[in-house]
Amino acid sequence: MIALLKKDIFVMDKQMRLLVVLAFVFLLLPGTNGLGGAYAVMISVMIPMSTISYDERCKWDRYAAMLPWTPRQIVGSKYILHYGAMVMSMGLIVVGTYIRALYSEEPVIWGELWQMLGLYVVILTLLAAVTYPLLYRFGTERGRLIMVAIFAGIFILVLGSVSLMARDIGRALDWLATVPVPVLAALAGANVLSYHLSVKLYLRRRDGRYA
Amino acid sequence: MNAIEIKGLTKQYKDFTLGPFDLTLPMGCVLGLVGENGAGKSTTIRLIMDAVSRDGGAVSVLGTDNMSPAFRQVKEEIGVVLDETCVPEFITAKQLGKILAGAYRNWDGEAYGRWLERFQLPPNKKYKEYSRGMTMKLGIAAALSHGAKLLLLDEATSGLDPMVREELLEVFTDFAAQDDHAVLISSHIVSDLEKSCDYIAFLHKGQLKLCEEKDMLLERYGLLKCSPQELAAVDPAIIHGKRIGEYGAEALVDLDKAPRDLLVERPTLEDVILYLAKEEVR
Repeated sequence: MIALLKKDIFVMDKQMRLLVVLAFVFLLLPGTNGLGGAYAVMISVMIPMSTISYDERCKWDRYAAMLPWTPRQIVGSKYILHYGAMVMSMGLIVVGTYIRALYSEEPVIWGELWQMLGLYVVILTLLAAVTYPLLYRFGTERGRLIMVAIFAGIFILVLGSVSLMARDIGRALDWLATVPVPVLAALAGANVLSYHLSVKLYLRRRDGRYA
Repeated sequence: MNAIEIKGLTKQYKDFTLGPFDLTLPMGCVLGLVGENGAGKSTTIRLIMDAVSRDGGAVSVLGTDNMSPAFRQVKEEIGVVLDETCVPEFITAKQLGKILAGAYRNWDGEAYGRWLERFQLPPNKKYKEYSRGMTMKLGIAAALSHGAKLLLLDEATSGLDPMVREELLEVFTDFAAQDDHAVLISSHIVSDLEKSCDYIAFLHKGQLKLCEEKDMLLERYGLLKCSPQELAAVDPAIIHGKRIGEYGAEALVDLDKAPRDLLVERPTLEDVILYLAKEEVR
């Protein structure tokens, strides 16, 4: 599976660097509060989705199916890439926020930051659970449309959370903080189910059952 | 042990049915899978590798049922080259080597390097900058760098110039020269298969029309050349395909039953395949 991840990293190498640089620009520029975070979250979704799109375009899956990899490994690598990209974007937000605090002389309110990151984790793991079965079922052509809808959803959710925070310092986040275990368990369960469903859909697609 | 044993294999798609058919590839041999585009050659190779699930029949590869969990280990000993370029365009040959080193336990990086050198493939050039010939050579270099015993080549020589084709056919023949190696090569370029194959299997519209030793096949048939009137007098049971023109007629006939008083020439493999396919149309 590491080899599959390696392949995705090689494929996305240049794009990833550009996305990271842009994320820092958004995170560090004054007057872009919130936008950097949203962008960092977006790239963690874009990276794995783009690799699926590349795979489909060059018919990598046809080749991968001939090698000693199992369907579980092939599909699982995309989920791991998603979680990896999520961790990377969280890291970008933390580093970006810290650097920004250094030159703007505004202290970082770590409690708020962790709460915001917690919300991002909830959104991104939920997205993984919903998006990958859709992509394996409909392919990336139609999946792109789904992607647009999902991105629109992210913006609404993220901007919504920002305005919530402005109004009431994140009552929703407080609620999330009080019930982390059930929320995390539900998300983990949804991702496990999603993964198994994706493997099934991947196999059906490979068999030519979906046009 | 046979490299491949197929019994009653079937695969049903919405508008295409492959099989049922039987096919055997003994060790130390090269089997050419001939057929027009869309005949089912690529699907057969995918079914052999369990890269698509079959609807019926049994497939054994290197002595292992290809649907058993043990087949994953057997895949280590199978080198595959596909007709289309299935490698992401931004990847270099060097990076592909690193990826495949993680896929195959027996990956031999030094052997891969030697193949790249032999095929004059720049290791740091991106895949998208490779020519068609170079991409096929890269696929072959990868297939030959993990101690494979069986090579599955799907249209590996199509779209290549004659010199590159000749070079690659030589590589395949050398590989199959070892007793514990075997090659299955699918192609619609029959002349390539005539040069390098021991066995010929002919797929036509998803059905296996024949599978036998190439030499036996060429000895069995004769190419009868005569006038249309003379052809009309020949027993239709011995005719397997014919072409009647304004100035003469040609027919693929059973050599041992061909009329002695008419001109019968040795057919090429391409003649045999074309006439057998034509008869189906007729």
